[in-house]
Amino acid sequence: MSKEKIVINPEFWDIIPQDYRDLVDHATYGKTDRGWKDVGSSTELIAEHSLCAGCPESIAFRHIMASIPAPEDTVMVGSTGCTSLVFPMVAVQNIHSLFGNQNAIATGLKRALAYRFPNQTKDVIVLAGDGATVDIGLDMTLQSWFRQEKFTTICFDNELYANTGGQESGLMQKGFVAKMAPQGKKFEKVRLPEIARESGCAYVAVLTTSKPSLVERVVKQAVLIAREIGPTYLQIYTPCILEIGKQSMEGLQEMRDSESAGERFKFREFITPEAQAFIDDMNAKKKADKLAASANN
Amino acid sequence: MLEALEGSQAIARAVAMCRPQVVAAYPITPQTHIVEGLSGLISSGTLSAQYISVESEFSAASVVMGASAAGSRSYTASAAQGILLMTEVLYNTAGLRIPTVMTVANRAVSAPLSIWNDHQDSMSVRDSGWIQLYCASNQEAVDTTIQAFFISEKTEIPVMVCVDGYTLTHTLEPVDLPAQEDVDAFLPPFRFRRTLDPGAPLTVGTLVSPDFFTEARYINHQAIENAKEIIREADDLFFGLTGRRSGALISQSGNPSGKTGVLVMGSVFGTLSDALASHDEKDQIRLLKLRSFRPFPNEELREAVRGLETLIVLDRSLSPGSGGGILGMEVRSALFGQKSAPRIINAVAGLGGRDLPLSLLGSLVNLSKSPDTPEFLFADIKRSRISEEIFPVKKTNHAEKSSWKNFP
Repeated sequence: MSKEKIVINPEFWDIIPQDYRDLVDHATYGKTDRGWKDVGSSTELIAEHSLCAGCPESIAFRHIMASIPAPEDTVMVGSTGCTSLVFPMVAVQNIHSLFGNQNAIATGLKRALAYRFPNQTKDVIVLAGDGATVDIGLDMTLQSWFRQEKFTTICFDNELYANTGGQESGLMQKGFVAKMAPQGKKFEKVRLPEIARESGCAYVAVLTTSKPSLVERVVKQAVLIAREIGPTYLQIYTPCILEIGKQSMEGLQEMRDSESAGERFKFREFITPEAQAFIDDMNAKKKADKLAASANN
Repeated sequence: MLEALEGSQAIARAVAMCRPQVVAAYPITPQTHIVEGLSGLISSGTLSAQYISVESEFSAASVVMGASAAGSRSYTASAAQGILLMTEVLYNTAGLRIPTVMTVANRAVSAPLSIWNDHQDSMSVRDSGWIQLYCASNQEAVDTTIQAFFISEKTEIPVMVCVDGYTLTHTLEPVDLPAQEDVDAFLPPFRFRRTLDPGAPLTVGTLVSPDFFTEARYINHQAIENAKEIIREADDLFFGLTGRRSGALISQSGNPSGKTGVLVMGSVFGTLSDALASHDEKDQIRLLKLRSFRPFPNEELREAVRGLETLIVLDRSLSPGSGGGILGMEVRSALFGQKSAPRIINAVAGLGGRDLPLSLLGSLVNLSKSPDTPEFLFADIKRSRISEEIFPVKKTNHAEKSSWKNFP
C-alpha cells in the first residue's frame, strides 16, 4: 500500500470522516525516521483496538506497527487468536489464514512478492501468538527457518491460550495453574529462542514491550536482517492480564517484573556474525551520511 | 434428579461416568468447556484417567487412537477447524476399526472465520467412516454420549456425538444425569479384542494390496450399515434404564398424518417443536428429527415420510457447487425413485450462528404453499447485505485487454 492509495479527491474532502483525514495528513508511510514516538500522533497506528482494556498486546501492536521500516511495502501475516481481532483495524496489508499455518502462508507470500517485484523491497512479517507459533504451528514455524525463508516471525508470548479462555500452552511456565492444567503445568517452558538459533535464524531476541525504544530497535533490526540475510525471530512477552489475574493497569508492571535479572524475559538477543556485519555496515553508512549532511550544512 | 447444567458441563460429567482411561484435548471454541470440565474431574480424583493436553487436534485424534488401540476407553472433543485438522486421523481411526468417542461442538468452518454454530464441520467428514449422531437437547447430548461408548465398542466404529456449539454447549438446561451404577451396568469395562499386546503380537495399519483393499472397504461399509441395529438397541436399552429415548435413527413428532414435513438435525428441533405448539396449522405438520446421519437410515426415512405431500429439509451446511445442502442431497438420494415421494424443498438456514427464531417454522411451511419455490434456497439470506465491497462484481482477475484475441 502506498500513500497515494489513501489520498482522496479534494471534492469529497468535506464529507470525509476526521479519522480518515488524519490518516491522509499524518500517516508515517515513507518517513525514514518513523518510530515509536509516532504512536501518539499517527492515526494509522491502530487508533482503536478491540482487545481488553490495558492489554499489553495492544501496546506491543502499536510499538511494532510504528517500528516497521516500510509499512507501505509490508505484508503482515496473522494467525487465529486475539491478534486476529486487531488486524482488521491495522493500516498495513495483512492476511489471516488458519491457526498454525502462518509461516507457510508467509513463505508463499514472500516468494511470490520476490518473484513479482524483483527490483523492489517487500517485507513479510508474521505476527502470531504462542499457541500458533510453538504448539499447533511449530512444524511450519521450524520448517520455514530450516528453509531460510527471508521473513520475520514475531511471537506474542502470553504463555497460554488467551482467546479460548486461558488453557495450558507450550510456552507456559512449569507449574502454572491453568484451565486444562488444574494441578499446574508439568513440563518446562519450551525454549523456542534457543531452538530458533539452532534452526538457522540470523537474529533472535527475547523481550517485553515495556521499553518502546528497545522494541523499535529490535523490530527494525529483525526486519532488515530478514530482508538481506535470513529468517529472524522475536519473542515478546504480552501477558494476558485477564488470565493471570491482574488489573488493567498492572500489565506494564508485570512485564517489568518479568524482565528483571534472572527472570524468563530478561532481554537477550542472538545475532549471527554475518547479520552483525550487515548491521554494523548499515550503521556506519548512516553515520557517514549524517556527517556528510552536517558538513554540507 | 434434574440439575441446571451448562451443556458442556453435563457432557463432561456424562463422559466421566463412562470411565474413559485416556482423554486427549486441545482447546477450541465452543468445545473447550467440555475438556476443561474433564481436566477438573480428573484433577480432583472424581475420574481416574490419563489427561493429555496436546499441541493440536491432529495430535489429540492420534493420541486417542493410540490409547484405544492399546485397549483403553478413550475420549476427545473438538470443533470446526479442529475437526478438519483431524481429518486424516479420522479416516484412519475408522478404517482401522478403532473404537472411540468424540464430541463435536458443531461450528462453522473458516473462511469466513466464525466461531458460531452450523453443521459444516462434522458434515465435511461425513465420508470418514465415523458414526455421526446429532443431539437436539442437552439431555440427549448426555444420553447419546453414554450410548456412544456402547455403540462404538460394540461396532468397533468410532462415534461422533454432534452437539450444536453455543446453542447447546453454552446453554443451561435442566438435565438428568443417570446414576453411576446404571451407567456401569449399561457400559461394562472395555475389553478390546484386537488390542495391541506384546504377549500376542499384531500388526495394525499395514499396507493393503489391490487384492484385498476392496474387501477391507466392503467390510467397513457393511459394519457401519449394520451399526443401525446397534444404535437402535442402545436407545432401547437406555430407555429400559432411564425411561428416556434419544430418537434411535430418526423420530417424528407433530401430527403423524400431517401432509407437510419438516426434517431437521440438532437443536433447532427444540425451537421448531416450541413453534409447532402454537402454530395455526399444526394439524398439518409432521416434524422429523434425524439423529443418525451416519449410518443414514434410508429405509426408516422412507417410512417416516409416507403420506407427505411436501418435505422441507432444513440444512445447516452447504456443499458449494453441488446445487444444494448436504442433508438435502442425502434425503433426495434416499427418496429418489420412490412411488409417491413428496416434493422436496431444501432450505439452508442458520449458517455461522445466524439465529433460528420461532418464526422459522412458519416461513418454512409457507415455502410449501407456492409452486414456484425452488428446490433449493437460502431461507434466511439478507440480500441487502451483499455489497460491492464484499463481492466486487465489477472487477475481474485478468488484465482488461486480454491478448488471446490476437492469436491466429
